[in-house]
Amino acid sequence: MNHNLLIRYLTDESADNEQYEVERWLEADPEHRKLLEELELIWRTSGMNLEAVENDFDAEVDWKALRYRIEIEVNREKKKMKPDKVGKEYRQSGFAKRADFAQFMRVAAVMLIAAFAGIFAWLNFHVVGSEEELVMREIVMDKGQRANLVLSDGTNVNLNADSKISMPEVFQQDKREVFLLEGEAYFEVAGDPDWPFLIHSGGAVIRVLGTSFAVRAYPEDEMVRVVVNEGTVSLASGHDKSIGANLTAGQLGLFHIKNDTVISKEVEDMEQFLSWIDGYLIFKETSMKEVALQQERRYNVEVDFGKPSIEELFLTATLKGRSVTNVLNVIAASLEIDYYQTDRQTIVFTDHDEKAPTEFDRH
Amino acid sequence: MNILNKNNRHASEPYLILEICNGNEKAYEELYFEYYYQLCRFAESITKCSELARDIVQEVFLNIWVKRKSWEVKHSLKAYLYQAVRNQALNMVEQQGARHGLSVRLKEEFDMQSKATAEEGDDPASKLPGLINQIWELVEEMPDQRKMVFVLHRKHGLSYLEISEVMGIARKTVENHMGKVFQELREKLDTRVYL
Repeated sequence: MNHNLLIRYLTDESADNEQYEVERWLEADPEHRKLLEELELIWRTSGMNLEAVENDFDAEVDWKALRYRIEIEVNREKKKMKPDKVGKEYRQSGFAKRADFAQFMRVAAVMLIAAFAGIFAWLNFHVVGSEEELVMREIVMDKGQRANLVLSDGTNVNLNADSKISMPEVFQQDKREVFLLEGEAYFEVAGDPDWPFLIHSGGAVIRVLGTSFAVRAYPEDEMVRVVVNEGTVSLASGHDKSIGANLTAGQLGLFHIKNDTVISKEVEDMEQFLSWIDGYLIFKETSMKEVALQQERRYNVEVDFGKPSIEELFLTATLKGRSVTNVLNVIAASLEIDYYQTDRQTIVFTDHDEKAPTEFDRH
Repeated sequence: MNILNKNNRHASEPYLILEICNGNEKAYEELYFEYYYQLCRFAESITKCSELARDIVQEVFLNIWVKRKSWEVKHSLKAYLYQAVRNQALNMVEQQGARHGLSVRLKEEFDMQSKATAEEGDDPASKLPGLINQIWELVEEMPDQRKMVFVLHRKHGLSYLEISEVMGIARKTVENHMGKVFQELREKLDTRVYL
């Protein structure tokens, strides 16, 4: 029996007379049927879908981007043509909605930023503010995402997961202003004494001339935290500049949002605050509650505790793994606890003695 | 417009193509949403990068619209699209070094979680997840052409004829590749455990 023929039979690619031939062969010997069953299993299984959800692909977003690009192409063609022809082509193309074009451009720009590099890079060339007012651009990091931005002045910004930053397309003459709406970012500000760099975050204002430091303002923190690696940074309340402190290298500043206070202190080890930039998670006597929170951000998973007492444990560990499984194993080994996954995205920490529910898969 | 025939193809494909040639945006939009995900996945299997995959699919569709007046699909629309994506992917992978120097560069990190979890397998009720992963792990190691034939057939549902069109090889060659994949898989897997 020709192997290829058998496969063709299996995949429905064989002609009628060929099918007949195969069926006769199958009947000739039970072993033949066994062989087919093996192949059929492989064939069937390979067609099963275990792919992760299409996280990376968003048809709606890309469709809007495509329409925008088509618009650009249509306009480009327009310019090459004579005026009377232009009018006709333009009106014929349904994509051209003159009245909404400017608005669409801006909306498209904001939406696309969070999308993907190619179009984004291209877009940057073309969406130049021809208007007088400041065109703001927002960049959003979901859970599990991080990014590095280089701004037009040379400042480098590292954005952590679950963060949102907003800045003008073009910086103003007298100051460089960005808005860390929520989340965490590490700034390496290009030095320029005549051009101050201001970061607005959680009601605080951080003012820099040239230096490197991290700002953290997750909504659940209720605080804005600044950690300075190099240089000097001033951390002040947004509406009362007298409430503030100057932070130098190796110092940490906290702005308490509700109380409107700023405190500062020395920090022995910068590493734990900045490890996320390289993708590490460093914990020093950190409560499991906090560990869980950071894991959720970093890996976009949900972490629960089978036993509430585990939440109270403290973890000291350096987690370098990009694989969640590795990280979980390290944590489990360090604290002598166990864990299991209930589904693709949920992890539960539990005790050694406790058995995972039988209907779930045990790792 | 959503009538599927036995091969899971739109019965009205010729109609769709004709409409797009005439500039019907609704038809174009329908085509886009119909094929977007599978083409992105296919592009990603070549580029190993989801952003690039999206760019590729974008380019393919952009070209379709821009050149719609002379758009011609010889046999299967699906084969046409996959072929276009494949060609675009192979081109872009080469060009990847050349990017415009811009004032803002965005470099994103992948969500490794989804890839890590996919390796674990998460169907608790059956032993098949192990087999699925084994199969694809083995396929991953196979030579490019053979791998692509299998992927196009099993993951994207293309027929031998369509595959031969997409890849520009003879139908017999497609057959041979498929044969070799099954042979290797059968040799290396312990299927008896699962039967």
